[in-house]
Amino acid sequence: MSDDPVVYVIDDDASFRKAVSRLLRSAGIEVEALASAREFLERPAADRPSCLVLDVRMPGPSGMDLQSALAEAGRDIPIVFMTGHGDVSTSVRAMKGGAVDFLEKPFRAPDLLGSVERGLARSRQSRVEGTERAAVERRFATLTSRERDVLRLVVTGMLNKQIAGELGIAEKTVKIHRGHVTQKMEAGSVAELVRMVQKLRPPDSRP
Amino acid sequence: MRPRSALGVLALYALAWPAFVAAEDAGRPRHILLIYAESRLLPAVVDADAAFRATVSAGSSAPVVFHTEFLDLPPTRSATYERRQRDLLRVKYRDLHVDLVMAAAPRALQAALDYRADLSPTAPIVFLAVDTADRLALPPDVTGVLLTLDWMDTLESALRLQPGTRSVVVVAGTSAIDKRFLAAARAAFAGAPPGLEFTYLTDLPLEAVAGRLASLRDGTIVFLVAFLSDSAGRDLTSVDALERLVETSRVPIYGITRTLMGHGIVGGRLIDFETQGILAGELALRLLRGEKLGPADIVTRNANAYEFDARQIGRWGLREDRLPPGSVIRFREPSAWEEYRWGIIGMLALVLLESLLIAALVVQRTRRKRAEAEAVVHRGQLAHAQRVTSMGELTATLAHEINQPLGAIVSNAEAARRLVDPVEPKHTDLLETLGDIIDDGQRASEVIRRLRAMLRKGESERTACDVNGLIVEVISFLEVDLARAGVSTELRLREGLSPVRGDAIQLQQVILNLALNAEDAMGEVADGLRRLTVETSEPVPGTMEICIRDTGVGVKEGDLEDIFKPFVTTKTSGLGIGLSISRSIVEAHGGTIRAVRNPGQGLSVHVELPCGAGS
Repeated sequence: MSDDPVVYVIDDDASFRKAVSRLLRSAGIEVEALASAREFLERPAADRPSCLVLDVRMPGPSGMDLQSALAEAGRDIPIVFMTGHGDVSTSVRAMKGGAVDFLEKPFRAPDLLGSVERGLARSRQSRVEGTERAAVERRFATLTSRERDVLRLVVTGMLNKQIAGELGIAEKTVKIHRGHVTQKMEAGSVAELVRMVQKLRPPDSRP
Repeated sequence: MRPRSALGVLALYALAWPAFVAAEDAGRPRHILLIYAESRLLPAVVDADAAFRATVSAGSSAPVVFHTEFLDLPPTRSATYERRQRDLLRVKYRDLHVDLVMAAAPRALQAALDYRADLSPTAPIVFLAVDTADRLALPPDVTGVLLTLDWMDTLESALRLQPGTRSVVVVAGTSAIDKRFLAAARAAFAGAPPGLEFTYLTDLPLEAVAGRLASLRDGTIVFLVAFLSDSAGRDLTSVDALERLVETSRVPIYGITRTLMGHGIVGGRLIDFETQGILAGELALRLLRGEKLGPADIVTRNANAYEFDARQIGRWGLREDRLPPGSVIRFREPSAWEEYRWGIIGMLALVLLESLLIAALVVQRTRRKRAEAEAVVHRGQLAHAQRVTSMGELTATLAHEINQPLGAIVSNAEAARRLVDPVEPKHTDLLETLGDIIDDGQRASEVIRRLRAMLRKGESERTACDVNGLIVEVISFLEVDLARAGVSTELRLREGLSPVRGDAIQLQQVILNLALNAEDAMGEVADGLRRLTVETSEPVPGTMEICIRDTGVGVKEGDLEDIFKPFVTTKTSGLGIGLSISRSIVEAHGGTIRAVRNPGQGLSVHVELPCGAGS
């Protein structure tokens, strides 16, 4: 797992593609230039912070098509759209689909670099979150079913006594389970447990 | 014994006689002698005679033979004349068995009685039109119909009609009948209401009477009693006289005989000689059948009826509602409605029908004109929209095509600037140059952006559109065009499609572009094979599809994607932006457009649009 980011520039216009790649590289960003959305879909997903700089209108699958294809595949990769001519309804659609930005050609270097930087930051963030979630999930998997019940009630703010009443077990037993949970989940406090449990929620139920 | 037996035989004979007569009765003709004192053509005589004859002929089982004598008696009685006449009649009827004698009017009755012994001693007598019968000593086998002269009834009805009447002018001729009637009238008028002044115009020539009547004051009425001759010795009928007098009279004229009705009298309680004839005829029939009738059977009932002439009532401005109850109104001119009812109804119906037809045609014409005007406006809108979108599409394409290299230029300049070490003094000019390139690149793209913004103004107006309706409208615009190109058009429109939320004019542009492309594509196809099909469907709820299919030259498989690109055309004319515009519009409506080669020949363009809740 590498932390060096990569930016994919996808545009059917070769000279434009080259110019934008050049600009990004001048800012020290690693760039991969592709001529079509299909090319991107065909390559394996890179396990590193990444961002797409994507032309809206291209032969074959358009930029918008690629955005929906990625969403469907569950690939969370930030997209900066570029367009030759601004079209309000397309830009709205793109932004609603989670795009980082929607740039009209020709754009200034700071606009592009700013957007790409934000895209990469978002990618890093989601990668971190992904890693953390994986760790929490791994620890959660080690809990017994009784321990999971106790954890479920602990994060609602119940006292041991209340938990015992709820589960029909002795308060003392609750205390032991609780100790195991904290230990296994590697949590320092109840607040940390709550944060971890929130990460465990399935992604689609997030607000 | 012998004389006794002879007597007996005679007696037997005598007894058997009536039976013998009765047996013989059926076939034997009956002879009736009609006696008139007046001249043959007197209207009263004519009416009574005809009615009597008709009544008897119709009612008798045996044939009836009528013998008529118009005695034509001199104005003053002459014993010599009467004797000679009687002798003549006796000779004339000597060999004839007269069964019945009918005498009309008093003088004829008198003559019938006088001549009876010589003519037909056994024949019963029936009279009519006799007003003095009660004063005559009648034999037991004489009967008849009494005549009532309704002077007072007529006067009263006249006074009802003309309440302002103050004087009455009574007109009569100089003949015996005239005088007799006048006497009766005078006697009757003696009992008239006291306020009335009576003037009698008698013994004057007709013209003189006419002159007098011409100068009568208002509030006067005239009574025409009878006028069979005037003082100048002219022989007339009352009708002749009346017709002359009516011409000049300033006031209404009344009379009491029905023969005057219709010739100028207002009316009155009129003697109807026809009724007299009928009643006398009925008595005659009873007598012929063997009944014994005498003075006790005289018909005394007043058979006179109130009759008035509607034309005279109208002429003098009198009021019908003042007439005696039960009055008969003659000569009422049927109103136009009564006379021509069906004609009028027919005519009105015709006029109405025609009016309706005209109205319908006018309405239709107005509607058509309005529809035509609307179509012109609509076509104008469509054409305008087409131009605007063409320009819009053009600049959009231009923007895309130019912004692409501009973007590359600007990005390259930006990259170059970053690659140049800004601290190195000799790089200052280079950095400035790069900055200018960037600025000019931005400026160039700004020009295009402004042009686009301008053309985008007043862009889209979204409403719920009935796509089928839009299709029908567009195809009707193109109807003439398509027909001229020899294209047969078929619409297969699914009913009950959900509406598409969109810009009707833009959607029509799409349909128009696709239909025109289809038409162009079929230009080189053989006659009879040029077929355009427009079909709509809703394959899944919330998405509707328009399919425009032609039998044209089609497109190569590899070009199917390219035809939607701007400036790509297979045609010698045209910019090649029709399909590109169509795609822009369809995509702006959240739809898709694609072309598919038909299995046989030609191309199908499928347009999918969100509809109903989906749009």
